[in-house]
Amino acid sequence: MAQVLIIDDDPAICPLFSTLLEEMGHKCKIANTLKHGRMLSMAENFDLVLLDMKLPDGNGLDLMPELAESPGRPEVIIITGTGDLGGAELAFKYGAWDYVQKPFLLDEVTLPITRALQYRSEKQTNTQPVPLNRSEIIGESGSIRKCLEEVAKASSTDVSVLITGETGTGKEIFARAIHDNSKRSGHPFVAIDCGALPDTLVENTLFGHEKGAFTGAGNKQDGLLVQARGGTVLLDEVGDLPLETQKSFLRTLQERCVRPIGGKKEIPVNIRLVAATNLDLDSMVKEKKFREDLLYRIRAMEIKLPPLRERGEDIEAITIRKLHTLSRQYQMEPKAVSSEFIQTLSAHDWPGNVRELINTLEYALASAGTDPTLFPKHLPPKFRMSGLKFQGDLPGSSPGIPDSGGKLPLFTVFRNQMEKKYLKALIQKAGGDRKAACRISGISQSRLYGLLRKHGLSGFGRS
Amino acid sequence: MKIIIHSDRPNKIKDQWDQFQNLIRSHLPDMELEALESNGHLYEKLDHPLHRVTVLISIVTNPDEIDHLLSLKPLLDNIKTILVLPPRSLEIMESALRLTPTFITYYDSNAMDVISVLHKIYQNQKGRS
Repeated sequence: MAQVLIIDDDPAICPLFSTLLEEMGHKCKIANTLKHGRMLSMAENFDLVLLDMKLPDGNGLDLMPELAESPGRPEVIIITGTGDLGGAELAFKYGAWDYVQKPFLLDEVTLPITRALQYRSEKQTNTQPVPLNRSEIIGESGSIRKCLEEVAKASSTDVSVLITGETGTGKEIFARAIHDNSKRSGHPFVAIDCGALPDTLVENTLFGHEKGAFTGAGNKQDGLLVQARGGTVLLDEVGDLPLETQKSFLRTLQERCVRPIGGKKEIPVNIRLVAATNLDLDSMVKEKKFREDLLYRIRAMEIKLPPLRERGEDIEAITIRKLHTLSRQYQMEPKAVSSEFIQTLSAHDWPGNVRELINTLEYALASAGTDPTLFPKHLPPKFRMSGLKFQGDLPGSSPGIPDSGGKLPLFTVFRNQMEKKYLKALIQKAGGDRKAACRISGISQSRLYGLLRKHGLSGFGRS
Repeated sequence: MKIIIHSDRPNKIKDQWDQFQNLIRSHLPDMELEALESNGHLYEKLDHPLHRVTVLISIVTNPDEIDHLLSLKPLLDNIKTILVLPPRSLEIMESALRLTPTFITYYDSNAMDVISVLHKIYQNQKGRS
């Protein structure tokens, strides 16, 4: 018997679903607004949510990220209006199991509900926690946990994986985690930085050459694809592969062999491929800069790494762990970390992501010298300036929409920034009193804590 | 861009040692180049934050040197590593791959390959800043 939550304001649909679900042997609860739906989903473990997109107090899709982090992490079936395929597409992007369009026949919803609950039941039965070697992946945010689940799935197979994400999000670390947790972990992990190699050297590096193949080829040399021998090859910055090399590499993937430059014989290769890029390969395909058939081959599975600004709640954990590592590495006394230090880090957007954070921590350690505790003053000056700028942008002072060069930011980025600014102002206004904060903002305590965690903020009684 | 060229036994590979330094100075005159002639000096250079080293070119003469570089791996995280290896040494090659270097070349390869790679790294760095 499953627990199902129906979030819909349609007075005809709710009883229909309720009756259907009861006949299927499940229990259900109904919410007619986003707010009520949110409250119920945070308070109880649901297996499935039937979520209307158009609700009186907002768009149902806004609840999707929170549902993914709710206690039950339910499957979601979206209910959309007639012809709203754009809504359906968005729903899948957010991880929905399925969608149904109004008006619908009962048969049209019974099957998706059955399948969603069957999948969930099988997942829960088969889920035996397998310890995953996380290597240096730090964080417990929903987005990183999701990526780790993808790593676990990838590790149990031999399919090609494409890891995407901004610079500094840790693509190599995730690639290594896939390798370390796979059956190929006893064989080499070979990383090839396509972005650092001039076009003239890429093919030689990948495929090797025969003696005399070109001027300077004094000896035969195996390429890295051969030298990987049963292991994993990471093609980093795969979008930088020249088109000619893409063609040869595609052939390698298809035929599982390489022909060295100047060679007549083909050499078998036995590798598992992980590719990584911060480029939009789909756009590059449209611009004829990347082969569509190669993209298809390397993207049997995709792992999208979130930028650090979208997992602010991990900043503290990363900071503490990395400071510990760096102190040990440089044989320095471990340092304490003030809450103001963490707050200042959390307020930054981190365009360079985790790598930028680590570089900043190195700066702070060097700057602190023998000081036992890290404070904002140990950070580069620009961090302290960001803090000052924030105070001028409190809600009520019309911050307006940021406009960099005539381009609107992504809606989710803008919303996250505004959310964070509001929370900081709220913490200040409430003076550290969480009850006052709930009263002022009109949100529940659990919701407030969820938001604070999301944005890596503290401010209620922590030192 | 700060480049370190390193070997624990530069006297054993004097030709390569001098050749690479001369090539870098003539083709990349704006780069800051420092030559470190022992593992100890390399460790001292990297063993503090803010060393600003972008590229390490290490000319390896024996497996022990690779083992030493492997022991420094955490310090090499943010550094592009170029290894120059003796040709046809499977043992050294297997260890070298564990360093996940940016580029591997050999004593008998074209030394200008390293210059091309340095140019590319520099262009990428300029593009990012």
